[in-house]
Amino acid sequence: MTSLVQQAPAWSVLVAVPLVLCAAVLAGSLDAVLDPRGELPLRARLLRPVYEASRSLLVQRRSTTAPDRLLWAVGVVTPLLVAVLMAQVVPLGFAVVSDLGVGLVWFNAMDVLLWAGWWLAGWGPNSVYSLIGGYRFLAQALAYELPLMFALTAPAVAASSLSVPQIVAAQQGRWFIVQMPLAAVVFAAAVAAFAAWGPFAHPVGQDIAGGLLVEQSGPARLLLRWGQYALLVVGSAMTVALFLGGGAGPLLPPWLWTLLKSAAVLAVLLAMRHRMPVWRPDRLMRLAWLVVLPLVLAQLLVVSVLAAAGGGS
Amino acid sequence: MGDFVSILAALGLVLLAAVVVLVAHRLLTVGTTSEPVAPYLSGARPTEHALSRYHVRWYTLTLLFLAFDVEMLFMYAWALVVAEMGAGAVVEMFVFLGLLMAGVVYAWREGALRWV
Amino acid sequence: MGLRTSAQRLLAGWAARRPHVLLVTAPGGTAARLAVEAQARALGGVLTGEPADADVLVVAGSPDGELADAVGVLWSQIPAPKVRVDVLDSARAAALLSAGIHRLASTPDAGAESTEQVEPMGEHVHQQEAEMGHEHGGDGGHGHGGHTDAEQGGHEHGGHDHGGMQMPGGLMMADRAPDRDGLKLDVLHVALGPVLPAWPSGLVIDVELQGDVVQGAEVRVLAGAGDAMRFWADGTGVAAGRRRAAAHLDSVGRLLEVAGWSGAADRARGQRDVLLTETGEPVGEAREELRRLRRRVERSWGLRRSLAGLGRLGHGDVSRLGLSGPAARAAERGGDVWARLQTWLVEADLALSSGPVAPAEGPRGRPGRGSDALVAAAAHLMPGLDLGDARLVVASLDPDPDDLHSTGVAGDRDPHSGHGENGHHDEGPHGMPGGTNHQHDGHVA
Repeated sequence: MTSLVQQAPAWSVLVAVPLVLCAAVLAGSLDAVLDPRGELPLRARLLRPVYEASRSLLVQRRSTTAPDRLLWAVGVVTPLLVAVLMAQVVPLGFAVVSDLGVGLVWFNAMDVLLWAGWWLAGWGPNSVYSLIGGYRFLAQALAYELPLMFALTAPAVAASSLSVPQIVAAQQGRWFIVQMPLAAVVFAAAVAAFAAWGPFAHPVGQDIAGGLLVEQSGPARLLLRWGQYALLVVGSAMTVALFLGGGAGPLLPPWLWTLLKSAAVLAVLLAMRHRMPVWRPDRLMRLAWLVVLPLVLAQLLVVSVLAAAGGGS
Repeated sequence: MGDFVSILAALGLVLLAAVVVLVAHRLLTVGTTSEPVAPYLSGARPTEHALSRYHVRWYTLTLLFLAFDVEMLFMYAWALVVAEMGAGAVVEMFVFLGLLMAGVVYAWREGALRWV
Repeated sequence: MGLRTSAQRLLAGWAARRPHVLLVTAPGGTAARLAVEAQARALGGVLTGEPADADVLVVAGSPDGELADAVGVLWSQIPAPKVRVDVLDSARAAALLSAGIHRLASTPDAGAESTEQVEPMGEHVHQQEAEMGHEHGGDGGHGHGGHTDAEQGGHEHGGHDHGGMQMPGGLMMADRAPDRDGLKLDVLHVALGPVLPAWPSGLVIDVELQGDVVQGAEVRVLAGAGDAMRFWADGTGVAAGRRRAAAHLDSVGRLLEVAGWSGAADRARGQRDVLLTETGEPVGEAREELRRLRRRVERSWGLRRSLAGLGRLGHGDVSRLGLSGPAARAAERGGDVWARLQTWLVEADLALSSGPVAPAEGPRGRPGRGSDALVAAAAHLMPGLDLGDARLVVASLDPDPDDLHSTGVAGDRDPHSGHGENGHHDEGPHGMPGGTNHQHDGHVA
C-alpha cells in the first residue's frame, strides 16, 4: 500500500512553491469568473488578478499614524506563508514534497498560525475597524477550529496514520467521503473560515469598511489577497487528499486527477462568495459548539467504531 | 531531517516572493512616500489611538476551547492505535469527549455562548 | 527612467480596467449617486469603502460643512494615483466618471501631482468640472493649512497637531469607562458616518465602543448643500408605484450589503435601476423579477438566523418613537430586522401592482417625519449591540438623509456655523425626544 506513495526529490520544493503561488493567481481569475455581479466580458474577468496586482504595485507607499510596523508586516505575510507551508504535506498525485510522517498535525499547526497572522494584520495599522476585524477573526476561529480538528482526525483514524500520503493510499478502494461525508463538508467549510472567505468573511466585512483590510494598500493588500487565494487552493487540495481519494481515478494520471478534483472543490468554495450572507460570529459560535461539534464527534465515533471493528478482528 | 530542510526552503521562497513584490513596488510606485495618514474613520480624524485594551466578550469561551485543544494532544496519538486497540480505546476516548461536551452544555446554559 | 515610466503607464492602464470607486453622496445627491453606481458597474469597476483601496473618489452632489471636511480627509487617505470626480448632474455622471478613469489610465506618474492640482488652496476645482465652476469654500475648523507646505510630489496630511500632546502621532491613548458589568475598560470614540459603505450618507452616529460593543450612541445629521430634494418622493400614479418599489429596493440593497450578501444586494440595485429608468418595461416582468429576489432572500436560512430577533421595535416602540411607514408596519411581522426586510420586499411588490401602500406617505413614512423617527429608533436600539448588529439595525431602518435635510431637522445650513454641533433647534419637535438634531440615548447601564 505504501509503495504508492513517493517522496518527491529534494528539488521538488522549487516547483511546489511556485505552483502554489501560480495556482492562487488562477484562483483569483476563477473567482472573478464566478462573480455574479455585473456583466463583464470573460477576458476582463480572467485578467482581474492582473489588474488588481497592477494597482497594488503602482500605488504610493502609505502608512497610518503610529502603526506597529513589525507586527503589521508579520501579519501581512502570514497567510501566504501558511498556505505554502501547508502545501508541503499535501500530495500531488501520490508524490509529496515532505512526508513528515505527521503531516496532518503539521497542517493543523500551520492553520493555527493564522490566528496570529490575521489578528496581527488587523492590529498593525492602529485603526479601529482594522482592529475590530482582527478580533472578529479570533471569535470566528474559536468557532471553526474544533470542528476542523475533529474533522481532520477522522481520516487519520480510518487510515491509522497521520501521514497524508498514507491517508491517500488508504482510500484507493473507497474514498473516505463515503464513510465520513460530514467530516468532509465541515473540513471544506473550515477552509473557507480560515481564509476569511464567503460566509466567513466577517473579519473583512463591508459593515466595518473592509475590517482588517481597511488600511492595507499596495504590497500589503496584494500579499493578503494572494494569501487568501493560496489558502483556498491548498485547503481544496487537502480536502481532496483527505476525503476524495487524492489522485485516484481512471485513465488520467494521478497528478491530473488531484488537480481536477482540487479545482472542483476550489470552485465550490469560490462560488460561495457573494452568494450567501456572512455568518455573524455569535450565531456561528452557537451553531459550531452546539450543533456542528456534536455532529462531528458523532461522525468520529462512527469512523472509530468502523476502524476498531475492521482492525480488531 | 530532509523534510524539514525542504520546509525551510519553502519558507525562504515565500519570503523571497514577498521581497520581490516589495522591490517591484519600490521600483514602480508613483510619487513619494506619503506622510502617515490618519486611519480610516468614516471621514473623521481620530483623536485617540485605536490600539487599546480591547474587551473581548467571548473570553469565557477561550477556556472551554483550551480544554478541547489540550485534548487534541491525546487525540492524534489515539488516532494511530484505535484500529489496533479496538473497542476499549473507542469507549475510553468517547467517554472523555462526552465529559467535555457536558462542559459545553453547562457553559451554554450559563450563557457563555451568548455574549452580546 | 524611460523604462520605468512606460512600465508605470502599462500598469496604470491595467489598473484602470478595474477602477475602485469610493463614492460619497452629499444631501440631494441621490440621483447622481444612482447614476454613478450604475456607471461604475458598467465600466467594470467596483465600489469600495476603503480609501486605502480606492483610486477614484466620486462626490455625488455638493457637500459642505463637516461633510466637505470628511471628503478632504478621505481624499488625503487615498494613495496616489488618484482622481476626484464631482458629479452634480446625474446626466453627466457617465461622461465624468469615464473621463476620470481615462485620466487615471493615461497619467500614472502625475498621480501625486494631480493631488495638488485638485486641491491647490483648500479649493477643489476639478479639471472636468471647470465649466461648472464648481468649487468648495474653505472650511473653518480643520482647514487645509497643512497642505500649503506640501513637498513636491508628495501629499502631506496636516491635522496631527491636536492638543500638543507628546503622544506618538499626536494622539491620546484610549480613555477608560465603566462597562455594563461594572468593569472599568478602555473606550474608543468612533464616528459611524458620514461616509461608510452602505450607510445613509451624511448621517453621523458617534458611538462609544468597548471592544466591538456599542456603549453609547449619539446621532447627528450633517448639513447639506441647501437645495436638497427628496428624490424618492417624486412621481404620481404608476410612476409613483415604480419609484416607491425602487426606493425600497435601494434600502434592501444596503441592508443586504451590510449583511455581507453582495450578490443579492447587486441584484436589488439592478432591479432598482431598471424600475427607475425603463418606464416602458411591463410591470408584470418587474414583479416577477422582484418575486424571484424575494424568494431567494426569504429562503436563506443563514440570513434569517442573522436578522431575526435583532433590533425589535414592537407596537409600543412604534407609537412612542412616532414611527410610520414600512418600519411601523413591520411591527405586525415581529418588528425585527428580518421583519423590516420582508416588509420592504412585500410593499415593493404591492407598489408595483397597485401603487404605493400608503400613498400619502413617503417610503420612510409620514412626509417630513419618517426619517427623523427612524433616526431616533436607531439611537434607541444601538446601545448594547455589537458593531455589526448595530450596522444591521441602522440599515434596516435606513433613514434617508435627503428626507432629514429637507425637513430642516439637520438644521445648520450655514457651512460656517460649526459642524452640526450648534445646529439651529428652532425647527420644532418632529416627534423626536427634545426636538433637536441630537439624540443621546445614554449608556448601557
